[in-house]
Amino acid sequence: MKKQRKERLAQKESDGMRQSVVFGGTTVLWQGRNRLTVEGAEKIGFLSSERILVLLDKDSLSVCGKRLMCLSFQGKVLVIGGRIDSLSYGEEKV
Amino acid sequence: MTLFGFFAGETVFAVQGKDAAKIFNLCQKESIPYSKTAWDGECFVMCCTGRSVSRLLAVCRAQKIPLEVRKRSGIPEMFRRYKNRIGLFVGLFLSAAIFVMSRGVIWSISIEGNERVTETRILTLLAENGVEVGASLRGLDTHIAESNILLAEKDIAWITLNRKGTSVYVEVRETERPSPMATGAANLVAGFDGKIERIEVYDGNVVVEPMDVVRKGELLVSGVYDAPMGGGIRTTRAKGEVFAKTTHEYTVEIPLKYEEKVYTGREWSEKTLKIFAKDIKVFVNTGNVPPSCDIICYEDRLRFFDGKALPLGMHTKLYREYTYQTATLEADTAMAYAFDSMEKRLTALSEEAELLEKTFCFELTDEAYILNCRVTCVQNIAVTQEIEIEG
Repeated sequence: MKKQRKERLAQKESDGMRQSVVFGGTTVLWQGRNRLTVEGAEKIGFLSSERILVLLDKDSLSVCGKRLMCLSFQGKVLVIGGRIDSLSYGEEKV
Repeated sequence: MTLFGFFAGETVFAVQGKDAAKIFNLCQKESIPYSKTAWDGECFVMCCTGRSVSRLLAVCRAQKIPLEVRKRSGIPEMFRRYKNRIGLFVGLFLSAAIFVMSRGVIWSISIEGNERVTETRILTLLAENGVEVGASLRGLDTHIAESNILLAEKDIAWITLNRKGTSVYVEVRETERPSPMATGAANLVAGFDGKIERIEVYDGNVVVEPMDVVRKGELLVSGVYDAPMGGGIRTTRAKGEVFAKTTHEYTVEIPLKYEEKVYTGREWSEKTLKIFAKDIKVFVNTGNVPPSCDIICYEDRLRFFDGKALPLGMHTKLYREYTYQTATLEADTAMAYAFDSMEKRLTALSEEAELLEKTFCFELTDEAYILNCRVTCVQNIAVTQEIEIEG
């Protein structure tokens, strides 16, 4: 039983690694219009109530909207709140 | 504010909008926790608690980021604000110490079940056995106290002391006194002059008849029987009721001039702080207390919201000076007083007699209003008189 669980976990981990190799190491989760979670954020390049520039490993993510606010930034996980209008990738690097 | 924020201290910071991203990056890099991020116009505000406050300040100082402290709150801030007020901390410490110590003493005593034995007497007996407000609960042996009180007070048949927290509840059962049963021989004699209406005798030798006129002290029912055949006498305790028509005269005299008590308005007071069993005089109004004054004592005790009294209160003794002045009563007022007083007497008489007739007459002199009342009634005039038998 324990062995089977370990094997399943190892399988999941290898799938995740494959996905990050194929799609890149950043995950962006946009929930409704008011919450955005970015996994793999390195730094915040710019912060204002209308635009937040998130610097990723190789490129950047620009979040535009109104009353934008960084709710938390721990590890490489950044949570953004406010009314999000658009997301766009850019070329800025860390 | 969270509970952790209250105890660890909470600080609200504000930075210029252009530095907001730097602050977030620093917090992420140094793992400094924060909360309540918001925009305030051009400024950006955030909240830090506990040690993260000093860490953030140190990091920002090193990075030369201007950080403004908007607000500090919580216990550390209270200590910082009042650190120079030593008296406050001493008072807090003393309050806590008194609170801790007071848990080991009796706060209140409540007594139930007493009728004849006064509460003061019971409290005195309890105090003699170490049970009083302010006494230590440690080493309190309620069984010994109960036994001692039972031995000391004959009117208490049973007593129990129940401890509930810092309160002592005392339950008392008093001894039942047997009513004295007179067993000796006795006669019934007339208590008033009168004309006998009817006789209801249960025991004894009746020596009067209805329609007889008797004087006060005259024998009505004898407790002595003559034994036949010269065998001496036999005695008994005469019992019964002899109803007779009697006449009573009552006089009420209301003086028209009397001495009236008038307060002069001068007052003195003594205030005593009562903490458990200790009395501390906190305010004594100096001045010679005049010989003629009323002394009014009252006690204000601190109470919980449920009305339970605390062993802390203020005892006030108020002295009110008075003098006597001669006052004059109007005739109408005097008459009202006289009739009122007479009414009370007649009411008392009517409880034991059947009123047949009453006649009033009054007299007004320079000195007083005099009201006379002649009452005719039927009442039990039999009074028990013990027979003393020699030998």
